[in-house]
Amino acid sequence: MMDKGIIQGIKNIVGKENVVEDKETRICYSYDATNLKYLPDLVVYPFNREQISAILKLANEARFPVIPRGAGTGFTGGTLPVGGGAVLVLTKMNKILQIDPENLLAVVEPGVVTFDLQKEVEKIGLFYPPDPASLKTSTIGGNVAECAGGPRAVKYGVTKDYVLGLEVVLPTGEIVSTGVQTVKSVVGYDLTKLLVGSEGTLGVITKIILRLLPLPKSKRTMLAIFPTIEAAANTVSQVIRSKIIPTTLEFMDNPCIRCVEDYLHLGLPVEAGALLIIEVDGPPEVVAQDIQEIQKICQANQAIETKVARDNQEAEELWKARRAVSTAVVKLNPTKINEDITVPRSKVAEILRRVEAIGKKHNLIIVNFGHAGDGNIHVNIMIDKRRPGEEERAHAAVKEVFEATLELGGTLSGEHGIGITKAPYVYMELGDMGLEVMKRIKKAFDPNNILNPGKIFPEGKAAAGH
Amino acid sequence: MKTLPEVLEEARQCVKCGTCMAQCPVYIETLEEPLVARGKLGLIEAVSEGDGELSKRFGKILSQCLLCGTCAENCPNGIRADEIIREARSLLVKEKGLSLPKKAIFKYLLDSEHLLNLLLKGAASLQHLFLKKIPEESGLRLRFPAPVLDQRRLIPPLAHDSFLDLHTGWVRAEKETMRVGLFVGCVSNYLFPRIGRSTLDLFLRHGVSVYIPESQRCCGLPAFGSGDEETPLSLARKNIEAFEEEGLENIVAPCASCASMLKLDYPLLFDESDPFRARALAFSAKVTDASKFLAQFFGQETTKDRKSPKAIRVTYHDPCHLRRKLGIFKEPRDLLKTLPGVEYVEMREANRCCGQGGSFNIANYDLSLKILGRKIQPIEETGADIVATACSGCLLQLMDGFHQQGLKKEVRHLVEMVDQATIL
Repeated sequence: MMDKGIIQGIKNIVGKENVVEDKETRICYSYDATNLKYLPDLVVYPFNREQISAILKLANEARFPVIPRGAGTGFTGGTLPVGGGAVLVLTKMNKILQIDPENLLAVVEPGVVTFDLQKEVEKIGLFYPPDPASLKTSTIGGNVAECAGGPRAVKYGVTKDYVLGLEVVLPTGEIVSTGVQTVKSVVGYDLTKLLVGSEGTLGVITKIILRLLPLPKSKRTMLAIFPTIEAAANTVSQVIRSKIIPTTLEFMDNPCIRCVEDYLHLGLPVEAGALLIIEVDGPPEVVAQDIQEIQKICQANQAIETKVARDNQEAEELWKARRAVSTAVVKLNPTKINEDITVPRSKVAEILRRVEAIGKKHNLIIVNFGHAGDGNIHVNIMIDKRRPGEEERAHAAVKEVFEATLELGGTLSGEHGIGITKAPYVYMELGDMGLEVMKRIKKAFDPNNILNPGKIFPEGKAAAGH
Repeated sequence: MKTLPEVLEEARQCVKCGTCMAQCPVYIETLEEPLVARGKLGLIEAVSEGDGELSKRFGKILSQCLLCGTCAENCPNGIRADEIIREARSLLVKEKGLSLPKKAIFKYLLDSEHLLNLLLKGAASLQHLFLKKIPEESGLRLRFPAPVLDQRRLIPPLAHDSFLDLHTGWVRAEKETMRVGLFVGCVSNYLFPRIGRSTLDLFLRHGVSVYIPESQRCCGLPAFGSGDEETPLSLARKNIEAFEEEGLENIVAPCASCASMLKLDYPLLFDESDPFRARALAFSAKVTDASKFLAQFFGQETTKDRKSPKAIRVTYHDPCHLRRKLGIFKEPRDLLKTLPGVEYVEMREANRCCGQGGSFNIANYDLSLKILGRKIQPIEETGADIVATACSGCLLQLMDGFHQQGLKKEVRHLVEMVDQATIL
């Protein structure tokens, strides 16, 4: 529990109407999309960097944790108050401060919803490519803190590729600006890149300068169904080898196809080994050629069926299966352990084979879908916690999946981050020294461990992720 | 009525993905987690598990939902958060009772035999004492502060004679081809009898004889939405009995909210073991919203060829109860498009909730106006002269909104539009 005097101090900073103590409100800020729960002591709605700075200075004096939070749609618990403290809700700092078509950039506050920014810039023919599945609800601040990805990463990269500069309140309360408003800059360490993906452990982001692109003139979408995972994986490799970079290259495995077909009855062949959704964008002439060529590659790789959408509406139809997959698989078992491993593109078929073997070994249902084009696979272990031993077997399987991923030159997380759910495993990828360097960086930024403690680095109870 | 463990099990199905945050009209205005479905379900779960109490604050948070169903429509896991929230409200009422003003209104006014009628009759003749006329507008405003109503609110005057004062029993069409029962609804009965009149006239012109039981009452939705299940149960029995005797095939309600209550919620009120349940199911199966019923007369045949000198521009607002609960959205548009002298324009986000939400707008007037503001903007963009809709709640809300913003636009019930445009 937080001291009355401290709470009064926070009220003096942001106004008493922006500080909420009642348990009912705190319960509403105790979870995120992991559906794990930790009750905060206080909920605070700040409106500007000065208020955040004052709160963090107070937090260093009085030693209470401060947890920045956007929309709370993260999958690894990055915004859970594992040790109590004050949740800093940034959703109300949601102004788009500037859209600059001459320099192709936008300046925004952290609470801007990603989709809202995309709609605004697209009105004037510009483009902000990162498209995490949560984009209609998640905030740019959260996307930056977690370095969110999305299907378009194959061609356009992830959030870090679009952040030019940040304004950040450090854990000790000082306000710094990092980065630039230019394309080039080499002045000292690249603090911007360090802060992107730091999961709210190194600073509270209060302003973001984003790089924009011209909006592609057209887009074509196709769906291809394959008898085996290998055929689909070979198609992916051959598409890339033929020097076409699709905007998205999404895949679903056989269990996903079965679930979606059960759920939506789209007429998908339930015996199929894999399904790909491929999109290309660019000038209409180029796009028309590309999609034709990709279709040929699919057919040369034993595709059972290929469908090219003629218009947006047909494209939406093709996306239906992929969009429904998260929902459909929950029908298999109530709890989804959702990993987002990433391997080199050429190893996609190999990792899927290994995941299947791990599932069989531990007698678990594992379904895979995700972004084949960049090797980012969502491995979903579907369990029922009510069955004794199943959760323990799932954790053992996760560890083996991670080992296989690392063996193939991959990484534990493509776009979800570490938070608390993956913290017990980070040492596998970083090694003791890698982890130690990161801990030193954290200590340099946040000597009193005030800001979002218990994340990334395995420690105590939080490491268990319950 | 569901039990606590049943409600808890439903609330638990929410995986907290947050998709509802992009859709919820209340969250969009406030950006605070307790205001969105995910927050409320999380809270219901915690309270039912004993980690929290049936506190005043819990009640307040539960009250801040329009029950518009937008979250449910978009939920990837198909969770009916609106229904769960209403069920939680009713559990709260069962434990803690209704607030005094609500108790007075629901139990003693809506459900009493003659009190509401008498009171509103008296009020109709005395309303000039409490309310003042607003120049050049058809509404009234409170003269003195009242305990529940906001003084800025526009209040339509009570009709001198209610619809049911003037029309009851059988009204026969000249060349009868069909017979229906008419469920008038309170707003049409007491405030805008012209809606009932238009429905009646339209039916008669199309050979439909109309039975209007004198003993019909409020549908019970205001009480039901607030978590009171006793009053609606009592009202439901009376309404079902009122329509039973004449062997009707169809019962038509011009108000979408009434239609939704009669058709979808009445069966829920009666336990499986209640012998009255079969009668409720039979009654509900006969209920149709007026626009869907009217579509059979206008659906195919176009009346457009009747030349009209100057077209008026009309747009349509989807009531939540019609679109999301009853799944009716095509018929009202088809009707408007066939009307002579009407240029139909579709507004952006026509299915966005207007912010009325039953008692929501009384308890949260400022928030309700903000939500309404987001509705009015797309209406203005269409340049329409008239907004047609099919629910009495939306009607009152949009009227108030146009008045607050000083807009010279009319809000009309769909049946009135159809009646007047096809009268010749």
